[in-house]
Amino acid sequence: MLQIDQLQKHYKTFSLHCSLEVPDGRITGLVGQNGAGKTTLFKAILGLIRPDGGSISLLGKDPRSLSAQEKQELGVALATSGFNGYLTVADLLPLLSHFYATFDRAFFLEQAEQFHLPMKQKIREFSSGMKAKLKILCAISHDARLLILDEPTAGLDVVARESLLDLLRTYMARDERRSMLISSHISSDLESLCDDFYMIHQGGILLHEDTDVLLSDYALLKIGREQYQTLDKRYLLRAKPESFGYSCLTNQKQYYLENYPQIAAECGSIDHVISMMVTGTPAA
Amino acid sequence: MNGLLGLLIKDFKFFRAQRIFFLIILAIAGISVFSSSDFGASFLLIYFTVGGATFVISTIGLDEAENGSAFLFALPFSRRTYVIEKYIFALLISAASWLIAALLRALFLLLHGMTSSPYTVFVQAFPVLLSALFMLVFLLPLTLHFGREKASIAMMAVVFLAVILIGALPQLPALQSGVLRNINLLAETAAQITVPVLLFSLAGTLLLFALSGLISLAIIERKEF
Repeated sequence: MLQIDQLQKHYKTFSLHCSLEVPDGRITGLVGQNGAGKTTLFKAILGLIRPDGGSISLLGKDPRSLSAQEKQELGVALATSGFNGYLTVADLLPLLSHFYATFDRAFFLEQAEQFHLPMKQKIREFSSGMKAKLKILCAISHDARLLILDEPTAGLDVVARESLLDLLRTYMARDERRSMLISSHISSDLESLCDDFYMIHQGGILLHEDTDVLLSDYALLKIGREQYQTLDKRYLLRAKPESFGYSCLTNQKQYYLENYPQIAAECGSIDHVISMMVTGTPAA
Repeated sequence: MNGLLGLLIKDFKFFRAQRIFFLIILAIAGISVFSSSDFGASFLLIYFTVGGATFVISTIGLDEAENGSAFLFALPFSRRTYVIEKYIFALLISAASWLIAALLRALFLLLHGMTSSPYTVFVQAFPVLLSALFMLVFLLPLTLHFGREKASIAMMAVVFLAVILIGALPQLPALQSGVLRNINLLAETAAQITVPVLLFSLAGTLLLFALSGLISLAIIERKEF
């Protein structure tokens, strides 16, 4: 569905260099700090910027050579961009009908009502949560095969976020060939939604892992200074000095639980991984 | 051409959202119809036509606002379609604005008992439409390249000059006699302008419009969002 191979994009103060794959039927998450390169990557995928190297295959083609008809297979929501604020939700109906041959007007209207989106109010007067809901709604109202969602849950409260994630899950479950690439700052969203995730940092992919593997095999180990010296460090990805000794990230939780039963281990989470991969150092 | 109609609808929705601005100008134009001076009606013919024509520049600004271009160009249409749509919209909105303004001016002439034939009235007004389109030949690629903000500086200067030159100049005393008298003769000889001349002027302007479109296409194909 989406294949990125050694993509390069260079700016004066930032360089992107990464590879990534979203196979058919998968939900892939992209996590990273602000400025890590998520938005640049999304723009490259959508053909909005021209790569300096590497290749992108989107629906089997270079994104910039996709025909309008092929682009109808995409559902896009971008964090910092959307329909102009002078338009209303009612204005969007004829637009979307003409852009997408498969636009489901009835579904759109039904969801807009459920989300309490006023039809006649200008989008610029919407709250950030309402804007986020509208973006998602536009992305999933035309039977897209690939959803590309950049921070779709930003600005939403817990309840709204959950209902929106449920909507995305339902959408994906309706056709198992559908795929999604989604970025979010809220790691719990990705943990509950994604099959796998990529972690991007300073323009490069730092880690790629299946979510199941991360939740079952990764752990944050709390280790005293003396014990750290004698610890088998082969399966430690990162270590960070703490007041009590060291925090260590491992992708072999079971090995340490069995061989070092006295070690305190917190189950893996995307938050742990992000924090340790960025602030920790390779264990030595 | 996929997406063309959707883009046109979007721009007309923008127009609807900004209709107050045009309604105010129309109201002023309406008042001028009952005034005693042809200058007011002529000035508003130019102002309304130019204002309508340059609305296409505003739509580019609205597309760019709040980083909107990134999302817009992810929608299912090509960059070529975007450029073609802007030029079609420019033609439609310019022609519509000109027609409304020309009709108002004709109404003014009718109310004040002037004896010009409808043909003469519209022939006199036609260069205003061509001038507005000619202005867009430059403004459209400029705006697509530099963005609304920078291009608007150029636009203001061009509009100001156009209004002054086309509208105010014939009213200056210097024009009543002397070297600039020839400009006044334009209106006097308008009745003698033949259909072939009009069509030739229109064809020339449209040719320039098409060339401008090709330049705009090259600009937009290279652009990053």
